[in-house]
Amino acid sequence: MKKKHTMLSEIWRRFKKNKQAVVGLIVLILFVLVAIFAKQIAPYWYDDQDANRAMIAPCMQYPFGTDNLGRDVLSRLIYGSRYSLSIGFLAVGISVLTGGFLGVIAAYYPKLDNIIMRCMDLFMAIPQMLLAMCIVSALGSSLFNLMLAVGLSSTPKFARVVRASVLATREQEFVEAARAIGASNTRIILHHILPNSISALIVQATLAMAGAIISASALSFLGFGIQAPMPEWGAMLSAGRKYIRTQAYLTVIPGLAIMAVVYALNVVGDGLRDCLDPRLKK
Amino acid sequence: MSDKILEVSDLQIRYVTDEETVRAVNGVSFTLERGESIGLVGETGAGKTTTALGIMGLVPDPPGEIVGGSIVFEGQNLLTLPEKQMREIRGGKISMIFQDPMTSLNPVMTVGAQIAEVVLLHNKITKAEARERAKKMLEQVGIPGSRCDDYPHQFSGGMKQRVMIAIALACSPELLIADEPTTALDVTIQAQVLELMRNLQKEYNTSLVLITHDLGVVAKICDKVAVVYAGEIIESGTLKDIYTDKRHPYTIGLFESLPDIENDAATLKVIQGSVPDPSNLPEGCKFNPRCPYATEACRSGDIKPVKISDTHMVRCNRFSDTEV
Amino acid sequence: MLKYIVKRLLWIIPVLIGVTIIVFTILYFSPGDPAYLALGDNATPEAVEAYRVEMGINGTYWERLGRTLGGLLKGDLGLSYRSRTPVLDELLVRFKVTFDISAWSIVLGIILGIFFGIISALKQNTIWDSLSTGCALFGISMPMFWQGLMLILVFSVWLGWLPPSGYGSSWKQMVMPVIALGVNSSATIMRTTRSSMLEVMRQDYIRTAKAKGQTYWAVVIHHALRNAMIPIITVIGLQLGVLLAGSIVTEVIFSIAGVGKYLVDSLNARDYAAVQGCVLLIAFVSAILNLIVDIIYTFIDPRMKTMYETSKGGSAHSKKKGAQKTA
Repeated sequence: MKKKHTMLSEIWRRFKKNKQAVVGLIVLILFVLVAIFAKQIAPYWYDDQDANRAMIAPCMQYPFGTDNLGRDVLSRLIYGSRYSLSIGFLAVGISVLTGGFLGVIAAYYPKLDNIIMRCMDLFMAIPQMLLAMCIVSALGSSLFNLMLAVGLSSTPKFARVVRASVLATREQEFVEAARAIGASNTRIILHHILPNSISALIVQATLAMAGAIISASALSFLGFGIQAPMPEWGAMLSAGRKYIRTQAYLTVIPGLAIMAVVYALNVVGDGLRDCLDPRLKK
Repeated sequence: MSDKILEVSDLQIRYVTDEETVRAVNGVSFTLERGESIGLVGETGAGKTTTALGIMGLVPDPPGEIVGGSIVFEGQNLLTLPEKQMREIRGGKISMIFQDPMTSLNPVMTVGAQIAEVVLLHNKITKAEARERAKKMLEQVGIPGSRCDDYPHQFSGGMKQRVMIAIALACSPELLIADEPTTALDVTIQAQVLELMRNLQKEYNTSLVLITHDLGVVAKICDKVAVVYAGEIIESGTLKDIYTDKRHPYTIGLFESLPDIENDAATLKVIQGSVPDPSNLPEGCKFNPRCPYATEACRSGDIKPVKISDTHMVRCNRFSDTEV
Repeated sequence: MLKYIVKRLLWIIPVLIGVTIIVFTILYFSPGDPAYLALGDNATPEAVEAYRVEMGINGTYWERLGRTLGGLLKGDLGLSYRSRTPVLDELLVRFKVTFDISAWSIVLGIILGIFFGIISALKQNTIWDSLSTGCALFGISMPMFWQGLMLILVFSVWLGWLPPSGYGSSWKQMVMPVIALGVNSSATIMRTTRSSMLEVMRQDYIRTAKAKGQTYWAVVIHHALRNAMIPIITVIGLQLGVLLAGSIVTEVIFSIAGVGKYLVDSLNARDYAAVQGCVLLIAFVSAILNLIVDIIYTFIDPRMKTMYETSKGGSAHSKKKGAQKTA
């Protein structure tokens, strides 16, 4: 137990050195808190319409202005964080689980390896966004389908990463040692290989979350995701596009929100990659 | 009336990072005559490679710094030369062979091109002529000239090292520095490469600084020996001086730890303790924590070099007691 | 080497077949009946059946799949549900537009990316490095569609320098789309160039080059960059795929009649024949581009050439994937 504690605190110590990454982490935590406590923080409900206060530019009462239906943009932004963050998290979760599962199986059972990887190659021949668009088209527009589509379209990439990582670890001697003392395949996978592949996976997952959020907002922007009146940031951008000449803030602000979260994720992912570098591992 | 080609005096090099300062070279001094060869012997981390890089002017600039001493080559102090002139010397007058041939050659260039490159840098000749020269050098190191358009990955380790030697000698340098040239090679190949180096050295009358931890190799090739420990030369002399009249306890320990085929000993003799951390060197004589002859006087102050004879120097308070 | 190219080209055929099956199956389960969409809810059963036969969408799943695959092998991508004209014709017209914009974008991306990547690597940890890496991070964090909108905001709405939409009548219409796509690519390329150059500059053969007395810039360009290019080319290849996807959004924002916009419009109108055609075209182009990238590899890395000549295509692939990891 003590060894694990010092390894984690060692990683944290190294991570702390990268100031940008720490700022990114703080930003992420803030966004998560905003998402969780949206109801308490937001001054208005996200679909609180009132034609009398439509199209008001940012001011004291409405810090980010109001949209064409009189809804407070700030509140919509706050509620919207729930969608973006949950999509990012769950979509990547789906990718990791399905891709990870396929990757481990492919790496461990050579007979299945070829078939699985050929299938993954096939799916990778279709650009991710297209695949996601088709899946959403087929399943219908909803938050869950959006998550599923974005998650599944990243599965081949994760399968490949996990497979490579497992193959590399498997060749190492401590696995042979484990096998020599009679450990079963499952035990080897769970206790030896996974913990060693995890750092690469965590970095990939963090960066993939950034990509998932962008993909999801792009899909919503194009109309393939969440339906109105859900305040998903991409959908807000799409709706505001009509008014770009007069109410530019409707497009500028949601975009800034997306950028902030994605930037934070990228910076944290980079920071993790630098400090989990196996060359620095004792 | 000596023809001194290289004189290193009190060279001091250190590496400075955020966490620590590593004192790699702490006052190294030696001289070399034209055509002579000196072996710098010591364990890994003693500072031999850093000394060599210092002579070449290749100490990586952050974090390395040359903080003292001088390196006089053919009358010029290399440490004060502007970079442009240093570049003319590098590869042309002073060449270096590195330890690991597997990674020292550029994988995307043919070996012929890599040899021709150094020739073109130091001679005003045409590309075609340089290519001819490259082919000739390959032949000299025992590789068919027709292979000059092959890539490094198509050669074995021993052959790659030969290519490195070809590159190093292509411009007939006055001084060749070889940093553990045979350590990464098989024993049989080692012998061939050493033989090659010795012949070429004689043919071109090149002076040689040979860095190694292998006393056997030194015996075969070198005229002089300098034993390096923790960034200092703790004993130096001719081959005979060191091999038959060693005085410093470290030198003695080195020789004693060599397995003796005639001795039926059950265990090998080792030097107690381990090499000091170069960022945290002991006071006084740097070998004192491990030295069986150490006294109170050895634990503090500078140990001055003592001349036992014209050729033999040792840095030790107890040198008279270690005489066999 | 030629054998390898032919093998790769032949391999594209089963890939396209596989892609067709996947897309066809996904779309088959989509809601909405194209016949009723085209003819209206009050269409007679006969009219509906006649439409289905004309479009080739009558019969069971297997019959339709078979017909689609058969058509594919003949080069026939079917008829668009909306316009009832051959999908292939519609696509070819629009493809030139998408290709032009994408080509300029990748050129911009490569020039900016490699240039700033090298500067960043050589001046590591200085202000130039921090600025460049910071900008690159912004570049990849910005959603491409938002980037496009902001460009329109600044250059069309506020400054009035450039037209906000359209294509074909003036070169000015290409500026913003190319910037939107190119800057995004350049950010990724810049990051890869930087990390690759840093890795290469640490290698032993760089020290050997310096030991020969070579000048600084010759070492950087002639020795370092040539070796650093290997993962960079991999990333450029990947970016081509990202670009194709990015052009979808860009074309929608700038109202450009290219393949991307056609795809979105077709999906919205449930014109699945057109959607299928788009996906196939894009997959085909991606495969060709990947092949070109792999061939370029052989000119840069002689070790690749040896691998290809021993016709172990698989191991070359895995070496590329290994190079990807530095990205």
